[in-house]
Amino acid sequence: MNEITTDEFLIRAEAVRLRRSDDGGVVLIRDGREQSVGRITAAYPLTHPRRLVSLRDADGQEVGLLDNVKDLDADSRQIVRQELDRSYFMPRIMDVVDLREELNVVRWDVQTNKGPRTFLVRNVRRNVRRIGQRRFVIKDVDGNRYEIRDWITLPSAAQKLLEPYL
Amino acid sequence: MAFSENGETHTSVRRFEDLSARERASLSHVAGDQAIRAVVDSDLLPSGDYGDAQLLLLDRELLALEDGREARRIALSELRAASCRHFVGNGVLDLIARDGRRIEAIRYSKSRAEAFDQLAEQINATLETSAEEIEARREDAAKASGPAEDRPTYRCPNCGYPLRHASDACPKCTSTRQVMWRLMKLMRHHWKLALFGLLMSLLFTAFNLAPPLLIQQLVDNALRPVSDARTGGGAVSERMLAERWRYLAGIVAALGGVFLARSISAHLRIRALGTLGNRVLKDLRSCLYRTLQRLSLSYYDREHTGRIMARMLTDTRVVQRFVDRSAQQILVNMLTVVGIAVVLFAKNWKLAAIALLPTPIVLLLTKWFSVRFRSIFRAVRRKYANLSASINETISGMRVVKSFAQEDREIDSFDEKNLEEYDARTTAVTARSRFIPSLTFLTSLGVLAVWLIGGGWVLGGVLTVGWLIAYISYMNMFYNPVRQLLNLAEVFQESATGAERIFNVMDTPSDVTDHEQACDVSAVRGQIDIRNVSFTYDEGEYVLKDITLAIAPGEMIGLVGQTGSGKSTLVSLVARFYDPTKGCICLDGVDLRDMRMKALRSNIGMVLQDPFLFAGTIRDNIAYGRPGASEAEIIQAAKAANAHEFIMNLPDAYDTRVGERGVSLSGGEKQRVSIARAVLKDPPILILDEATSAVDTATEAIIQEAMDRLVHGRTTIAIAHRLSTLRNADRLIVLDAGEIIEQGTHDELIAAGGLYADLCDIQANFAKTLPADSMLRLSGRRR
Repeated sequence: MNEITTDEFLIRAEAVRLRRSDDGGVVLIRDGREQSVGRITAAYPLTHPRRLVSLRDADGQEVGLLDNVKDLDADSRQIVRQELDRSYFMPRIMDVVDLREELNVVRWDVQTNKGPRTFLVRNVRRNVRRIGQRRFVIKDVDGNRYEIRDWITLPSAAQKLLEPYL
Repeated sequence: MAFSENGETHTSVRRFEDLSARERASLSHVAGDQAIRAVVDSDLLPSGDYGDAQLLLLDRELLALEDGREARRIALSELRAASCRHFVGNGVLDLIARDGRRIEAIRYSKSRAEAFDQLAEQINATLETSAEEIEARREDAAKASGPAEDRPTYRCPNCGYPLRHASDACPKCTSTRQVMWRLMKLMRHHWKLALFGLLMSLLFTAFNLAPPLLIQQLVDNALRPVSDARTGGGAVSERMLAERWRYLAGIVAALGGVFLARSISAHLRIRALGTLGNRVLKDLRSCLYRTLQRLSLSYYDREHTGRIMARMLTDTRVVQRFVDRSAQQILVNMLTVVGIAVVLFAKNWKLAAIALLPTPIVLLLTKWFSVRFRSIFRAVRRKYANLSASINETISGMRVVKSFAQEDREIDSFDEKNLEEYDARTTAVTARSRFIPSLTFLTSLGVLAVWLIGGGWVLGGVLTVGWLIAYISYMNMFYNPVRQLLNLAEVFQESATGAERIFNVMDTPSDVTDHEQACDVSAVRGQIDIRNVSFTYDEGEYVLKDITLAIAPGEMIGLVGQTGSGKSTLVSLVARFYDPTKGCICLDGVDLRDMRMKALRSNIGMVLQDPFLFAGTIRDNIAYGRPGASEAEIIQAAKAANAHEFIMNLPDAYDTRVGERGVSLSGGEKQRVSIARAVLKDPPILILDEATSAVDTATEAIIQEAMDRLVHGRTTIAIAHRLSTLRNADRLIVLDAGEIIEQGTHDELIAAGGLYADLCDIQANFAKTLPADSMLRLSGRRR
């Protein structure tokens, strides 16, 4: 049995480029060869969203994992970022206007970096997840995700509202 | 009678030195010139009547006494062995004569069985009976014996009091004082806080006792002179009025000050003692948790998870409540009672005596009612338990109830139990409805007496109105603390047993420990030598018997055998979850016991049948054995374990939470995560315990591929029910009843036509007659 080494699956970002195809798809250019890419997802979407990014071909087979997006050239980086933003959409909560609990469902009324939003969260203990010291990820009843990067930087009224839920 | 307080009956083997002077005298008489080596008391005569009997082991003879008279005398030289037969409710100690004849030496009830087992051993030791003979006798006896008790009774090693579990604290032997002392010692780091809390309790009591005295001053010195003067029809001078006003204001201000000080001291006291209680709780929990992590697996075999949880959560809470509430309550109550008595007696001992006259009656009544309450509430609890058991039972058996159309019967039976519970509760309500009112009435009799006699004294000018009021207020403050103090012994006992149970766990020694010269090992090659290893859990039957096996570095060994043949035990010994009872296991020539446990375990990877994932992310779970691993290495391990694909299809990929608060993975997925964990740890030695038995065929192929990759280049011991899993093994070891009965390659064993060949046949036939899937389910079910 052959062992698996990291070289087998890691794609060094300096060695590749990406471009958009005419139909809006993504094409990976490696060693002068072109390969179309179907799905781009991060292996650690919460803790390292821009590292170890998995590229799959049209059949869903993994082509490899891009070691670090920031080492790509500007155009390729732009493409990967757009794709990642779509494959893992998680607006950032900038302010909390209101939080109201009714029968175990909490109604969040917030300002995000993508605009105002109202959503419902059931089972707060499970769906408000703490990552690191001051970062939180919230999943609503429909599976949408929202992020609080650093709750200390939120307006103090918002912090007060959030306190019992974080 | 299994347990007695007067020490008249004895349930253990006693030596001559243990006997009382009177017994020595009477027994020496029957023993003649021979020394008495051991005495065991029986409580049963051969006829089956209860009575006193004894078996004495002398220098040259065994002597059975019945009611103090000699019943049998057997010379040791005629004997070959001794053994016990156990029946329901009683047992017999047999002596086997040299000619094979069996002599029933003595009959005894179950309460003495243990002592006679010990005596039989001692007799065998004296006779120098061979181990084979003992084993043969034991087997004979086992055949003749009745069914074994399914649950052993645990007894306090000190006094023989029956305990519910091995880890229980004996309520009789728990020395409240000792445990409390130990608890105090736990608090020594927080002595400043404890002292402060104590001081505040004192202050609080003082401030609490002050108001009636101030009110007495107020009445006698501020109000009365003026009101007396007014009712007397006399004029009140402006000066006098102003003076009394000032006095009134002064006392009111003082009262205000006392009230404030009382509240502040109460606040400080509650905070200090509450914090102290919380700290003790925190310390105890953390001590306990350390102990739990230190203890070997054998402890967890003996104790149920629920009970350990109770030690950790309930018992520590009991102790905390004692520190932060009961202790200060006791203190404050005691000070209050003493303080009031002192004040009252100092002023007027006669009136004090009248005021406190109902005390003994109140005490007696409280005691009487609390005994009654206890039995009433016990009845309520029991009826309630009946009721809930009945609900639980019928709901889970609803399918059966419906299929036999027995709904009406169940309703009737439920109503009956419901009514019983209602009756018990009604009794409780009635009792309670009598208690407090009668108590109040009693104490108010005292108040009446004080009004009558004290009032008379006021009329006679012996006592002032102010003092009369003070007496009445003190009386009202007196009886509650008195009643609470009555429960003191119980509160102490409850907290002491709670604390004792915690200390018991903390004092449990670990069976498997590092000795001082234990060495670290690095760069393990993976040579495992199992030399003459025998093993028994809890001194029962041997699970492994004299196993010798050498495993070369990099070799893959497959362990085969039926359930209970000792496969899992053997790998547990290799991982040193237990130490062998006899023999030794060496890794690269070093006895495992001479190796630091951490060093040993860091060289062993295990993949078990039921992979356990901790609450955390997938990444955390893979990196469990190597927390410093990089993200790329984790992916590498997951790829090697064929887990990467399914992980990338989870919404949060490697950041996905699993366990209680996260997504639940399938058995095969969990198994692959646990393989990735082992891959990442990269140990030279690998143990696979039924790693593929809980998954379906398709998944098995994926896991098998991952496993083959993992096994490569490591010393591996694999256990599998499904023999096909072991196709890559270099050598197969067939275990049966704790012994190695065959070993060799698959082909060799098939050719030999032994147990392995039979097992293969059975599985092959199954595969033919049953669809593959159901065969998997059959063979996968191990317990």
